[in-house]
Amino acid sequence: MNDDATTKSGESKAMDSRGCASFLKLGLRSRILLWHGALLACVLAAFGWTAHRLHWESEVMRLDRELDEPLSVLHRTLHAQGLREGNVPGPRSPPPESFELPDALKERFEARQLDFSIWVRDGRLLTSSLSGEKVPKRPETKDVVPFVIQRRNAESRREAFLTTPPGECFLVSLSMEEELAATRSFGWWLMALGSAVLSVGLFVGAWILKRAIQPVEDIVTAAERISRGDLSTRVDGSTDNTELGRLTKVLNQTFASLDKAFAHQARFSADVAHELRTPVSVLIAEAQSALEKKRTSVEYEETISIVLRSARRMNALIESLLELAQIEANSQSCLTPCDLSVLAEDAIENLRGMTAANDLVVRKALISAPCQANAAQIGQVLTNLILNAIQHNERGGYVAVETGVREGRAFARIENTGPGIPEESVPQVFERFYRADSSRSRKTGGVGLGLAICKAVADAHDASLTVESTANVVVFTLEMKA
Amino acid sequence: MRLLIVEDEPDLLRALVRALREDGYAVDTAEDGEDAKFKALECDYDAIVLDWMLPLMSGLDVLKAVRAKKQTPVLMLTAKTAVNHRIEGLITGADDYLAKPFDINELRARLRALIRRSGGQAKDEIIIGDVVVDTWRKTVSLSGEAVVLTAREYALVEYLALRRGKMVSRSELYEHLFDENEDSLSNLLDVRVSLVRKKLGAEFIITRRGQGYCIP
Repeated sequence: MNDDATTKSGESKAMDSRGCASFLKLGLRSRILLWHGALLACVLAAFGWTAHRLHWESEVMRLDRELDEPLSVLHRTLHAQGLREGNVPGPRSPPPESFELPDALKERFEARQLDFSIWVRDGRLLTSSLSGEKVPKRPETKDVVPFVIQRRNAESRREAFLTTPPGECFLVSLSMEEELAATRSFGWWLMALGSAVLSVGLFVGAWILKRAIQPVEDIVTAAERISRGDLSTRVDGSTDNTELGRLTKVLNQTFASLDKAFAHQARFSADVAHELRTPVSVLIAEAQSALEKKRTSVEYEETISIVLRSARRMNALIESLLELAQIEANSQSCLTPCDLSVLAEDAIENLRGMTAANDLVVRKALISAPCQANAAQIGQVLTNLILNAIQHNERGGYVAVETGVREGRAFARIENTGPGIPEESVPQVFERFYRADSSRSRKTGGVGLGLAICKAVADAHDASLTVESTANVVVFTLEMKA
Repeated sequence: MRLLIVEDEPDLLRALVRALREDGYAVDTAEDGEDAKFKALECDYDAIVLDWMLPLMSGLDVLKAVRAKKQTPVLMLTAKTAVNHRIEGLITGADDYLAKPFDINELRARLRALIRRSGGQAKDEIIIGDVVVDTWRKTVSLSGEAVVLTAREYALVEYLALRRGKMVSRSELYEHLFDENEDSLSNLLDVRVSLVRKKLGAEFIITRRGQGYCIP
């Protein structure tokens, strides 16, 4: 038995917790709506009950007022009858032997549908407008204070009675049928009104909630699409200063940067794959054709040197791509005070051999240009730009390097002679793997990332890197932020 | 068979030329789009191997220019491997598409298939009486016995065999069997024809004066 009981209580507990869980599982909207509905129903019920009660009480009070006067009339009339029968006047004089209501009073009572009963001090019913079983019970008068009107409900009648000190008891009563019916219909009416208000309240509440929750739904939809891989999705809806507006704004920003990061990653992988394909093709084709039959040692040597060249190119490519990825990953890393003129001087010094080999004149106009920068990266930029100026130059041409401060901003300007960049290609020179003349850069061993790296570094420093080109002069300008 | 190989990467070009010349093809090369377009329109190549990204003019533009005038089979050989690029290349008029990096034997097989198809053949074996020409293994047999031909002799036999019954002019043969670097000495072809006749029978190739050669 005991076991059964505990099992049962355990089960019911489990049921409770399940009920709770299923309530929690309901959507936010349904839960709020449920609370809202329950609260509204409670308030309406309380109001309705109070109104109903007040209405009933006022009806009863009206009835009571109607009963008061006939009760005292009845008392006075009986007293007068007693006097007429020769009883001693005074409050304790005995009641008359019999009593008949005067006709005028009777008519009045009947017109008002009043019933009355009188009992004398020994408990005998003296008279009553009702007969037989309909005669009300004599009220208990033991502890009742004389001459104070008492009231009670008897079935569907309201009764008022008073006693005299010797023990006579007068009772008048009125039917409450009408009042009861009216109160009942008032109750129904209240219930109908309450239900109407409740349903309107729920409907309006649901509508407001729907509108309030809509941005959340939008966010969920957008997030679902993003989780399925559609990264270009954004949350529709206002980005005003409400809580959800701000959330929308933040989420959209997050999605955008996520999208950008993914696109960047995808482009990086695509670039790597694409640029590695050519050297790998060379490796495979060269090795495969070399292995097909016996070759002379000269041919083998040639094959091996081509293989080596391809491998070096792949290596250079990998290094450059990693460098680029690093720059883009941690921009704003360790800025130190440095001077563009010093960095430019170093770069020129490092490339002295190449300028001499290409029969180029270097013109320097290096004025101190202090700035906050990652010295190693900016040094790399200047080296790349000067290298670019050397590689795209012509025999007997020049490379002019100028540094200084202009409008509070440190700048470096690298100018070179050589075939200009075609106008339509100018916007593309900073793109990865862009080559104005592909076969030529291949011969110089570039992988098409030098200027892209420069641009990435400049962007990381909030600096501007621009290019101008005329028919035979190309100028790159690096301007640091103020 | 004469091919045009368009590739801007010198090392790759070199490897391709070596491999295909060893197969007996006459091979011309172009390293940029303009040159490729000029050569492709100038000569009747048996097939063109075309890179997509080229200096001066993209491979796709070269292909458009060629397709405006010629039916030459074109195989795109490119690092652009995305499906939409393949589709674009094939729609523009490429007959086949091979992505880098590639297996050189696959390139050979595809080229062979392209050339075979453009000659109206569906099989690698061409049977002419007692003579069987295997265009994949590049061998010729007479009455079931293998006949040793040089690569150049084989190329002549194959070219005529693919056009069996048609009269092929000397200039067409020169155009398809010799590349741009070879001196087209006029008796070189006659020498080659007579060598083939010695090995496969005097009636294997017939000559019509003033018209050219034919395998009946």
